[in-house]
Amino acid sequence: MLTRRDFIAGTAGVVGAVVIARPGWAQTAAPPTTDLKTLIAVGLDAARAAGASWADVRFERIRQQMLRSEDDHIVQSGDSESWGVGIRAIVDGAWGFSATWHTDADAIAQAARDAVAIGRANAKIVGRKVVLAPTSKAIGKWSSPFEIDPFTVPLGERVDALLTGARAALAVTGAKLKVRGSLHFTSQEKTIGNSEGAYFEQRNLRGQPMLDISAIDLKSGQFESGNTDSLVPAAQVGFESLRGRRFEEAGVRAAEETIKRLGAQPVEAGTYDLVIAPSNLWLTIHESIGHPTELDRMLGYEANFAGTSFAKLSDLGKLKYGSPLVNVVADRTQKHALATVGWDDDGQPGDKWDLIKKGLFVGVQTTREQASWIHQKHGHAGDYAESWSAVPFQRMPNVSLQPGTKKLTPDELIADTKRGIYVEGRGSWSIDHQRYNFQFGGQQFRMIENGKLTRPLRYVAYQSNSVDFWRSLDALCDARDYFVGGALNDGKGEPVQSNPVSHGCVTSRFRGVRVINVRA
Amino acid sequence: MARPLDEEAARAAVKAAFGAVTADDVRVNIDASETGFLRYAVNEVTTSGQVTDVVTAVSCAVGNKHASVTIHGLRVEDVAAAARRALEQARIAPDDPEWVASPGAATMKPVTAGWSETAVSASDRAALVADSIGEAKKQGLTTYGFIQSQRTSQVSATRAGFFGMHHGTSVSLTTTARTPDGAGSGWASAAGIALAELDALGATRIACDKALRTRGAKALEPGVYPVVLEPAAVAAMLNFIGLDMRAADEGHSAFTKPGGGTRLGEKLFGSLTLKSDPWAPLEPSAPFDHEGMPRPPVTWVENGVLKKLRTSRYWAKKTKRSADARYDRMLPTGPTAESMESLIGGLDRGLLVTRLFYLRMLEPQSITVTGLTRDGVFLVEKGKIVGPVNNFRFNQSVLQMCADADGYGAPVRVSSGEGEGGPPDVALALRCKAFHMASKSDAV
Repeated sequence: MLTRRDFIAGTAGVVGAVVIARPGWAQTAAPPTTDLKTLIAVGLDAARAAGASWADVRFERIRQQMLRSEDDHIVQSGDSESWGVGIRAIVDGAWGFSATWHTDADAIAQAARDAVAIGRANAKIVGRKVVLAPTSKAIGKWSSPFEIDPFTVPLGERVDALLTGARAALAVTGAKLKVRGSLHFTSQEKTIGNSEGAYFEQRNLRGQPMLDISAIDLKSGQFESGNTDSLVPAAQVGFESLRGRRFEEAGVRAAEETIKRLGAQPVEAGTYDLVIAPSNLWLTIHESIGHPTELDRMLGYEANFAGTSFAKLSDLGKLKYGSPLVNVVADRTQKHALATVGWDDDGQPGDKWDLIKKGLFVGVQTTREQASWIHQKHGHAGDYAESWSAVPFQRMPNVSLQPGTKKLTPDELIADTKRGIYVEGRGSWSIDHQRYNFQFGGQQFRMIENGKLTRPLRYVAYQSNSVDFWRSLDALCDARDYFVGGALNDGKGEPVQSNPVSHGCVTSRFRGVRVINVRA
Repeated sequence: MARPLDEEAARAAVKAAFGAVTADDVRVNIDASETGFLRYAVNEVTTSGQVTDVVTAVSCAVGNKHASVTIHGLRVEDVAAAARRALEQARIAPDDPEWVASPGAATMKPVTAGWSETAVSASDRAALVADSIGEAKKQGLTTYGFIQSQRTSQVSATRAGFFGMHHGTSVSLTTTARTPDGAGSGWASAAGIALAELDALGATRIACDKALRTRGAKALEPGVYPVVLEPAAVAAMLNFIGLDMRAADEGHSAFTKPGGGTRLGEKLFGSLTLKSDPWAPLEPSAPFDHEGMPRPPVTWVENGVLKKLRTSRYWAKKTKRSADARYDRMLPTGPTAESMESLIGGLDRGLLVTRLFYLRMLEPQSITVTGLTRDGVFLVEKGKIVGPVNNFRFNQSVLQMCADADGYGAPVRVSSGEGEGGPPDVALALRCKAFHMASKSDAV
């Protein structure tokens, strides 16, 4: 999330729910000199002795790699490593939290006492006391799937991977191009012990190569911007994702499409049937289904910042959220998806459940703490902190639209559409603070006329209301078209935290959606 | 009150880095911070804590190959190890044709106005929040908010001879009040350098007043309306201005002139003036950037005319211009400093907008932004507030908003309301002749 403090430096303007990764410094630090199990015991003992009724100690080792390119050369490179510890304590029904980069036993004991002292200060003004729903004792190790650990790949190979994509994009002719690239991997390793006896370790390895491309017509002073985000989405992957020609081909396609848009006709505002590719629809799912079904938002807990939800608890089992074709699941177990975990930070195992079934709103996102708020016995694996210095709280699982059960390809769906617009790729996105009114752009827009894709369009955005939009869905492609897009930095909370999350979907058709010309 | 980092420790770390490597160019950046925060919602505390952190970055260059390594910590042996690793990385890094050697020694007047000697404890934060919740309850409302206090120390040092150190404190609060039936919502912020400057109760009362006054909002059709934007709304819009010389030269900026060249000298911002000044009492900041460049006061826009675009050290070398530091604050001012009453009084029929939400760039050529109004939109007729109306989605060019401004408030500190806490922004209220409300939002 950029603020005006970044503004003199260049382009700004990313504020709200999904935020884009900023290049960071490489980081490194020495690991703790005592084994983590012993240090965790020190923290838990200190918290108990100070009066905590429950506590956890969370060590995190966060390694990052970042390469940045400007046109055909690298302008930033670095590996990273950061160690720290965050300690939570419940005291008289109130949370306290303390975090420090010091990882010696004395510092950890002090941080535990600080967390208890903060909890005690809060207990004087706490309303509802914290109750954690029971769960199985989390013991074990988990890792996200990968074949090649990027932290073992030589710098030269990583540089080649990024520049191969950038150079392929730059070689596309038809306009002056500006290409900025990045190749980013994060390894987040958590070791957590709590006063219930849980002790678990997990590693989440995620990354993405990205090209941001501007096609420039100096004569007219016009330019268009595009990117490869939805062509090579962020995921829980290793360096194997850079093998082959996928990124290179994505660079070429993104450059070609951006150039094409520079010469495209402005869209005529009006009502259109939209055939939306999954490369665009994943983010619409995120904003119009993912966030409205978070229990903390539904109950108002994000009212001061990220916003609340039009969905109410009383709507469960009653609200027709979408057409009967709409089935949406929350899933912390989906392979390669960004929000998949072995356990959440509370030790709740990753799970999968329905949010929308045959168009009906049937489920919400919760944590162990939130389960008691709605009188449920068990919570879902929703508690997550972005780093050792952050407080875990309810974050979105992978939320995905299920494919249609009837055989249907995107070509067949377009052939079945008389007049409409085919929308691909991630563009501008925005939704109101109760998730009613949204407006989404894209990367590529093409007119559909009598079942055929015709001319490219420019300045397109579609605007709707979440429920109206999902009720207007009348066709879904089948599982062969299933695609998973993802965001590395979904912003929520104060202080704001980033959550990696993915969304799967298929090409879908929506009838009678309002389309605007953003320049008109 | 002790600084998060004292100069002796900082210089020892810098010396350790410089002594550990023989690189052509070495730079050390240290950011030490002590942060305390408390978040509350539905009249209850939700999350609360404190974080102590120190981030030390060492950058080494060999010829035009370079790399940076950062550690969380300040032990001299760790800093030296980070420097050695940065050098190892630099040696195998590819050539960077944009690399420019670090700046050397410079003399800067220190900025002392950004530091308060008064500590802010967890109990202080809890007491302010208790007052805020108590006020909301007294008025039959539910409140939500976030308070954060922070102390920071920043260091930039280069082997070429630059050493800068700056200390700052900040405390900020944002608060939302809502009516129990969800029909009304208000928001306000308070921000300062010292705890004594933070009028948490005053902000809560404003939020409560707005929550009560936004009940029963009348439906109003979208369209182009004259508006008065409160400072938080203006701050959100001004975020989108990127004053970068290279982007303008290369052709992918709103400040590129058709046919080539830049729009320097054109009157693009109405009568607005935009400056950066680390010594400005409203928003004191470090008088140097992380590369070791001093930050003299600079005027970017004067009475609406684009006077200067920021030129990086590389782009300055390539285009034979002088280089500018990277600034992280901006002070907007207008030719007048009207009160809110006066600004509203100048509307024949228009809207008063409290703040904006979820802003996104729609079209960078014209810096057209989409977003939504939030927590208080009021219809104004003949200079008087008539009553609340629904929220809107807007699609609006930031440059056109500035060009259409015909009334300016006084610059004030505002918290961004975007979750980050930290030092306050400075913004002013604006009255604009035309603001494009594209559609209605049902959100309250």
